Amino acid sequence: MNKTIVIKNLVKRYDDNFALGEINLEIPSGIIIGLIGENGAGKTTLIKSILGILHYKKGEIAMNVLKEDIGIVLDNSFFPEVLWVVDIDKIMQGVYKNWDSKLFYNYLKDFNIPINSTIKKLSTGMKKKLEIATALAHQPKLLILDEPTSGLDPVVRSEILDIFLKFIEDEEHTILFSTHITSDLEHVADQIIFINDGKILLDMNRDEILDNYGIVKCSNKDFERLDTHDYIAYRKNKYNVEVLVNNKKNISKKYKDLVIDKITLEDLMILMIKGVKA
Amino acid sequence: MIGLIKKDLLFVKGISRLVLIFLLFLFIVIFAQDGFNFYYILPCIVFLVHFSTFSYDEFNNWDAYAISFPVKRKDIVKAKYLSGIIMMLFAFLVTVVILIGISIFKDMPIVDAIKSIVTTISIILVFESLMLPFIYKFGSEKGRIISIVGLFLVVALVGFILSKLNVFDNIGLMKFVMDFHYIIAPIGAIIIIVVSYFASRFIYERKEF
Repeated sequence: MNKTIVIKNLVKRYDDNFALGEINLEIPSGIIIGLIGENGAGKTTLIKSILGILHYKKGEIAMNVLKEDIGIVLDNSFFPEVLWVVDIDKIMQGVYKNWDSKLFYNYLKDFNIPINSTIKKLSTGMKKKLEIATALAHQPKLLILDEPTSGLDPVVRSEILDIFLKFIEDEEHTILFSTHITSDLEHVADQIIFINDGKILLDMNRDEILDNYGIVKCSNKDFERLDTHDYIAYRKNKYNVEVLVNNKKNISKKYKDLVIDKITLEDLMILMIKGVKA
Repeated sequence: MIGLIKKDLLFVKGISRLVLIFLLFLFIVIFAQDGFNFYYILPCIVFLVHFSTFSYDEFNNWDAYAISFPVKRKDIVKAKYLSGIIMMLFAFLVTVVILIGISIFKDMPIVDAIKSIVTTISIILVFESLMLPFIYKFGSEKGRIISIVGLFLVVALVGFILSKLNVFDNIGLMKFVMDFHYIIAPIGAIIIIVVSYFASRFIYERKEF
């Protein structure tokens, strides 16, 4: 599979001690990649480093796609709000060679975005959809979106995820998007990159995660029976223990009486961050 | 880059109501006060409007977004300078048109007036050029205060040096400056704008958003 972005040994340090890295990452083309992690984990830093908004001292980022072919939605970063929706079309004609006004207005129509409005007057959901329409209207090959669904209601969120799925129908198209709403990814993402405290904890195919990872909810007594190398992390609650395992099949063979629940990305994230590591 | 220039010009349209109120005020002042020197009013408004684009850009984190476009950082800075100059040319043309309009009703030395406008606009552009690198360095809020202080110091320093060199006592030179202010000022402005652009570019290339 072709690689859209290859990141090698990337390190980005801030004055306040937060550091991203070292990051080694390969973003394949033709799929949806979800970047998950807590607020402040480094998702935005990674995206901004990829886009050249931040400078990094160490490492390299190789882009196999021209900037002209990237569509971008950033978190809280867009046109000045006094501008009108139609102004975006006029401006972007002078920014992207491939800008397609007709396509832009089609998206506005599809997304029910009023044309005769200032950006300021749009609701949060409308504004986000406008940002996505703007990112799509020059027919990009790669979409990079930072928290495109945060702060939106479930209806708008599912609309946006549908837009992503439509975009990805073209097999050359790639989407990289960050979110802390992990349930969004369970519906659409092919690959999950889990980033925590500036480091990559997990970089895996979604189905592989859902097939292999699981949660064992058991009593303290049962928990003590488990070998430490059979699980990754655990969390003791008031009445039970939640144990994260990454080898569901073997565990169910070895401990026949234990029930292994399906994992959600949310459980995975919480247990990997908050749980006690084995 | 054309798109980025357009953005600042469309911004003026976005706040056009405010600009129109100012213009109305301008007309009232012109007709109420006979012989009032209004040359500097529109250029000053344009200066303030262009300056305020920085605050709006900052408020909406425009720069991070713009950097992700297929444009170079230096082009973002260049677009900002060009939009300021284009807006100032617009102010010049409108002021001249108003002037010609008035000259139909009143007898006035129109050539001298146009020379004054040229000098006024050049001085405003010099002021803005001296301030912009500070705005790029410190952001529009802090940068505004720092740049005004910096501007004051620069003007005081230049004045001090010139007086030490007895430039003001040189009657021949002073007469030359007075006679050709409308040529000297724009030439000086162009030099300062170019130097300022390179300083801002240097700062912007290293900045993170």
